[in-house]
Amino acid sequence: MPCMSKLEIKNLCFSYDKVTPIIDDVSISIEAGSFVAFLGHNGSGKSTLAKLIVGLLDKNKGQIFFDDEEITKKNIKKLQTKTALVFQNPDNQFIGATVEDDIAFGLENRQMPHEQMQDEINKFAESVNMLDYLKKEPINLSGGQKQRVALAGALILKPEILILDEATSMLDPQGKNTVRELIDKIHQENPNLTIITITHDIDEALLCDKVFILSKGKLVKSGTPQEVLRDEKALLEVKLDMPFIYRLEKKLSETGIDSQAENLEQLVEDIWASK
Amino acid sequence: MGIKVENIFYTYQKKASNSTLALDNVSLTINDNDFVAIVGETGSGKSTLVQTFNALLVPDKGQVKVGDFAVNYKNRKSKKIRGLRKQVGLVFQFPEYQLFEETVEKDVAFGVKNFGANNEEALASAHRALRRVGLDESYYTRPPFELSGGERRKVAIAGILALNPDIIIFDEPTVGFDYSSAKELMNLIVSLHQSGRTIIVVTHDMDLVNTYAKKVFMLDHGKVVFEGEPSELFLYARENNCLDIPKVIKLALALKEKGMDIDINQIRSIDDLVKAINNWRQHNG
Repeated sequence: MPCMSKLEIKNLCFSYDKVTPIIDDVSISIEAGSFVAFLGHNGSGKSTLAKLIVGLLDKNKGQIFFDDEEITKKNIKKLQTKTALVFQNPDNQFIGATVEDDIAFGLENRQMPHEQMQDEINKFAESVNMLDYLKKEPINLSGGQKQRVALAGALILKPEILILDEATSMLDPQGKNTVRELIDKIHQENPNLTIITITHDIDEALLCDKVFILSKGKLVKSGTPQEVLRDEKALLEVKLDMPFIYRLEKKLSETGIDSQAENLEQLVEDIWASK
Repeated sequence: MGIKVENIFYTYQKKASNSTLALDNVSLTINDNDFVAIVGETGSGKSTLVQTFNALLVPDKGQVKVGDFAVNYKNRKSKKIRGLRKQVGLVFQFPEYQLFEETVEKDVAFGVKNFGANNEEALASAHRALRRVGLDESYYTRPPFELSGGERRKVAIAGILALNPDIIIFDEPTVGFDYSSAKELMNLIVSLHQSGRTIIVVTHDMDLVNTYAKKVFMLDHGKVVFEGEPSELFLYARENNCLDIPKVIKLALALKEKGMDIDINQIRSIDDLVKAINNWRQHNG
C-alpha cells in the first residue's frame, strides 16, 4: 500500500536496561513538509524518541520508515545525511572556534571543496541573520545567537527532516522570540522541509500542524493543536496545562461568554461583544 | 531578615582593557519576609547583584547590609562571611549540574557538615530538607545521577534548605521545567515564604513575577531602572517596549484600551481577569 508519510514509526520500543520501558509501543506517522510537535512532561520520552529516529540510540523493537524505506543498520547513514538536529543547550553544541567554523563543521565532514563552502556559509549565516558575526568566537555570542548559528549549521546540510530538541528552552525571552520567529521563517521558506519540535511549551505547540503527546513513553494523544490542546483533563493527566488562550476561554464559557478564538485579538473582540 | 543595598559598584576583569561595569551605583531595600523578583535582560547585572547578598562577590564600592553584617571591601575577609553564607542561601540556575556526591543524602548533608555539624546532625538536617522538597526516604541512598532533572534540582535545593537560611535566592528556578514540575516548585517556594523566609527570585518569567512577587526591581546595564509592584512593572515595560508582558496583562490592557473599566493592579491570574470582565458586564450589560 503506498504511503505518503515522510516518517513512519511502527510499534517502537526502547529501554536502557531492558526492564523499564522508555519508549513503549509508539506508532507515529509524519507527513512531508509538516511542522509537528512532540509534547510531553520532563522525562516523558520525547527526546529519546528523537534520538531513536536519527539512530543515536538503537531501538529494541519496532520499525522506522523514511520515505517508505525501512531504516536498518545498513542504511541508517543515508537517513542521517537527511536529518539534522538542534539541541537544547547552546553551549554544548558549539564545536567550531568561530561562527563560520561552526556553520561549516558538517560540510567539512561531507568533504565539500573549500571555495564552494564559503558561499554556502555566507548564504546560511545570512538566512539566520548572523552574517556580521562570522569571525566571532562563541564567548562573544548570546544564547539566542548561538542557537541561530546551530540552526544555520543544521540547515546548510540541506536536511529533509529538522529536529529541534527543546531548542528554545534555555534561552531568555528575547532569544526565544528571535529563534521562534526564525523557525517560523524556515518553515515558510522550505515547504518540503519536515520539522519536528520537541517541547513542553504548550504555547509553542499551538503553532504546529500536528501535535503528538507522550507520557511515560507512550503516545497518549495526537491531532491538530485545536483538537488536542483544548482537552484540559487529558492534558492535566499527563502533567501539562492548556495554552493560555484556551484556559481563558474555558473560564469565560463557565460565566456565559463563548469564544473559540485562536488568537488574542479575536478573543478581545468576542469579550467586547458579550456585554 | 532584610537586605539593604547601598550605592554598590562592581566591575568584572577590573584590570583588563575589556573590563565590564556590571553594577553601577545600585541601591535597594528588601524587607524581612518580602517576596521579591529581580528582572532585566541577560547581562543586566541581576546575577551579579544577588551574588553580593551572600558575599560571593564583594562590591568594589558601597555596601550590602544583611542583618547586622555589611558586605563591603573592608570586610571582604571577615570571618563573619561564613555565617552569612549560611543565612543567605543561593540556588543557582540549573543547580542540578552541581551535584557531585555518590548519594542524595550525602550531597544534601555536604554543606551542613562543612559548617561544623557532625555526621549524624548533618544527615538529620539533610533528611528534613529532602522531605521538605518532597523526596522521601527511598531517595536517600540513591546516586543523584540516576534521578530525573526535576528530582536532581530538588536535591540541589534541599542542599540549601538543610542550612536553614533566613533568606533564599533562586536564580531562574523553573527554567526548563514542564508545567507540573514548575508549579510544584513554586508551591514549595511559596511555603518557604509563608514560613517566614525572605524570598528573592531572579527571573525572565513574567507570569511567575505576576503571580507570586510582591515587589519587583528591574535592572538595565547595571542600574535599577524600576522598582514597584508587578502591575506597575508591566505598564513600565509597555511604555519602554521591554520584557515579555504576561498574556493575561496584555489582554487586560487591550480590553482597557477598548474602553473597559479594568484595574490592572487587580489582575494576577486568569480568574482575576474573568472576574473583572464579569463585573464590567454586570455594570454595562
